[in-house]
Amino acid sequence: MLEHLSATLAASPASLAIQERLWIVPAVQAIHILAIAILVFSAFSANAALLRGKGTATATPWLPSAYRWTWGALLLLLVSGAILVVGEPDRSLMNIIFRVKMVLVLLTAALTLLLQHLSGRSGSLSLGTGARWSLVALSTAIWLAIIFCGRFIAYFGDLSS
Amino acid sequence: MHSFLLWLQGTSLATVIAEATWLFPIIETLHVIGLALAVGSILSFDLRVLGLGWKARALATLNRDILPWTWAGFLLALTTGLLMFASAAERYAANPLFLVKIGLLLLAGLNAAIFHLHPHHRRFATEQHLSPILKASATASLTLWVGTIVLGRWIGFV
Repeated sequence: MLEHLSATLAASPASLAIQERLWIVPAVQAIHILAIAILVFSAFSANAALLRGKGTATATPWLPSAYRWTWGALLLLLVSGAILVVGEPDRSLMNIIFRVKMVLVLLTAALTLLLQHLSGRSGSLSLGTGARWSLVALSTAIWLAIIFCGRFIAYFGDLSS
Repeated sequence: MHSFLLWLQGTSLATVIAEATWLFPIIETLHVIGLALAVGSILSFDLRVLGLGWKARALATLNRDILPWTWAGFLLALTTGLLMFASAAERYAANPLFLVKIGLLLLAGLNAAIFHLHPHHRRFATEQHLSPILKASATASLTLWVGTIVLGRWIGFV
């Protein structure tokens, strides 16, 4: 199914337009990396704040804005990522690491929603130390794994040949 | 200079990085993580100084809250950047975009030094005195770091 989608996308006018203009891919990749920078700082500093636990809400009044920046950056990553997929569909859709990356993005989006919901208005997690550290470690590990997948797509995992 | 570059990329560490299948992608990914931490924190700092974002972060604690992230990311990006440079020193040194990127990095460093050493910076934490000089420095910082990222990506296409 993805093989068919990749072939259809590659022949589409949008894909051909991106392929013809050689500056589009590096420009969009640069925007993608800027969005990664915004996301990494927002998500990681939010996670570090959550480690402090309950009773320190006044220390992190900026937690809601950290989540706003995280979601904004994720949206920018999805839009710029979609342009890159349309421009080079074989490189992404026909790569096993790209598929793993997309599953991880869904997982981390769900986990971020959960952390945002649990921290709520108090700006802290009312959980035991073990549960709090586990959730934060899992969230951080998935973000890091997504960045590894994003770079490794350029080197490994090609299914098209 | 040329003989130094040849020596550098001939060292056993540089040869291993250039030849091992997995090592370069791993170092490159760590470079992305490092620059993401450094640039993400710097852009957030600058946006807060300019009043364009992160307004819930107090200026009084901005240095303490954000700069440790910047230094951690910068050290990771610098170490991995040097390792990648060593693996193909001659090729990088001949790439004009790489040289412009290094120039922008030096300018960004100089700009950061001006921001933090300027006499106005002492009054910065009181939230009363965000002088035009500090705001101009934050604007320059935003521009220089975005430029560095754009050039860093373009190096791979030249």
